[in-house]
Amino acid sequence: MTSHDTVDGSAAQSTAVESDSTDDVIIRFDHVSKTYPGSMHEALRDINLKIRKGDIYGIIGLSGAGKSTLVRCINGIERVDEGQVTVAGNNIAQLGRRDLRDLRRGIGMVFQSFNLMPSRTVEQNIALAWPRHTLSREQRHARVVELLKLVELDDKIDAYPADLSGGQRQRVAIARALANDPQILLSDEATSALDPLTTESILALLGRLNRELGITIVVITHQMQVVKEICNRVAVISNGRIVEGGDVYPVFADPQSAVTRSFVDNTSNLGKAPGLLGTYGSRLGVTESQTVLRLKYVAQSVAEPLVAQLGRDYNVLPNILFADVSVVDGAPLGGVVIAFDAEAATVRAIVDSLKSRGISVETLQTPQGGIGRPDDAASRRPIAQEA
Amino acid sequence: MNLFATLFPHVADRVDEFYECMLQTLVMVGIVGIISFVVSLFLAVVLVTTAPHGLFANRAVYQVVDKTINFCRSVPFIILATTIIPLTRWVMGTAIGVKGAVFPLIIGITPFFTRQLESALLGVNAGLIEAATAMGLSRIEIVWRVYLRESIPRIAKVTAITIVNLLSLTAVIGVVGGGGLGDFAIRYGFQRYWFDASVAVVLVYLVFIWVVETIGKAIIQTMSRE
Repeated sequence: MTSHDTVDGSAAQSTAVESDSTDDVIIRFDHVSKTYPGSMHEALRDINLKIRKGDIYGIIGLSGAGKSTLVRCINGIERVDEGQVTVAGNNIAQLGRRDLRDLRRGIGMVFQSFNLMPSRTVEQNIALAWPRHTLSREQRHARVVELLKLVELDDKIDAYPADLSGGQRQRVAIARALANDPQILLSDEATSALDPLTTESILALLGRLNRELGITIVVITHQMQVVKEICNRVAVISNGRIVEGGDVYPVFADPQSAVTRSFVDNTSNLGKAPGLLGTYGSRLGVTESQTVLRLKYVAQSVAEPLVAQLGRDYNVLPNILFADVSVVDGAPLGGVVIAFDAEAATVRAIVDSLKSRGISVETLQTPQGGIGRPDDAASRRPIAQEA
Repeated sequence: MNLFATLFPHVADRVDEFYECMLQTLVMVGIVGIISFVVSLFLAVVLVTTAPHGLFANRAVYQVVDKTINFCRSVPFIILATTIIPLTRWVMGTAIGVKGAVFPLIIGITPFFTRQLESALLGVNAGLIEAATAMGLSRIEIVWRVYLRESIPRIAKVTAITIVNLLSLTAVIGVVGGGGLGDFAIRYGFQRYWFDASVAVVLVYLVFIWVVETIGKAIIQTMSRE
């Protein structure tokens, strides 16, 4: 349909808006479904996804959720049953073998188990990505050195993978993935086999490559920490379906689905607060007469001395049980769990005042019985002594 | 030489024939080993790549090769060698001597060698194949640059095992007129009760096997980086 044929102006407009917004979309899934032969359930169900140039796009899910299948549809290692995957303007399903191989050279991929060739040195591993005889020995060497400098590992050019640590192996794998100057880097659980410190450094490297080379990165992970650390956009996948997605900050600040909430809760103490409170409440100094609130901050309010203000304005003594602040996609996100003694009216006033400032408030415990009633531990003690 | 003549009187009497038989065994192992290595490696690559989820997954080809190998392996070698004598005559022009032994030896050892090489190639981590695919390597490139290259130490290992097996098959073929040390041991050691002839053959076999295993180990050690 050409534009002058269009009778309905609004339809033409919406088409134009659509094409404008797809200009910087580099990877696109439209109603993609896939079932493995012989399998009872669908690995992917009606996946719709738009990944823009320059994104670090997180795809998070539990193992078996379908995220590895999803990422393999991008470079055509997995074929889809229904729908369409478009990468840099190419419909993957329509590419012949040769075109698909050309496309793959423009998409680097790193794996949880590194997948370096054990019989080859670091240099040979990286050079494996280049078609034979396209570069002279000197050119090849110079390019390998350049790539290794980029991943900060240029002193290991003649080492074999077996001689390297996990973090070093992943750096070599990243250098290999970058060998053909790809537009896209796929990271399939690249940090899952690494210790926390090494994970940090690899994530920092991916972030730097994204900024310096403008490369689009798709990060598959089951660790919310990874998404929190480097991603600007995220899709949460569960049972082959995308249950939630979008910019990372809103997803973290206000998770909608149960799966997302469990991921978010697992990354901070705040999420664990109710459980810890039930088990260790008395040891934390919380009595039944106290009110316990969980406050979640967003952006600007983190900077305010909230808890101290409450103490001053309402004449209460808040006890901070847990506190956690982290920086997500460049903006701070966090909260505290506080316990205090106050009349019901004061509690209501405090909650209203906090809510008016855009802070999400959850009541984890309301006062039960009168002040001075012995807590559970105290009342149980004599019985324990009898036994 | 005196000590040799004392210990192995009957061998010393016909030392030229003994050397001739040694040479025949080496020639048989050499020719059969090289031809069978090439054929078996090709068949092993066919098996590994046409298997389900393989690079060239093809059920029909896989089933035919797989079942043929199983069939050949289930026939004891001496029965196989005697059964195919008409075929041997037709292909080689004779069924006796080194020339007549080569054909049945190839038929006898190739299925075993193929299975050994198949397991060597299957030792390549599937992740390496996936990484090579993701890099944009063609399937043929993956066969050469990943499957074969990464399997060299395991290929050396199974080749040493197979040559040791082949040595024992060359002795068996001696029984049905194939020549070589097996023929020597049967004619003089077994049929004429010359014990020293048998012992001399055993010692030569020990040396052969020691050499094969030493070379195999050396290759594994220099090539293995894991």
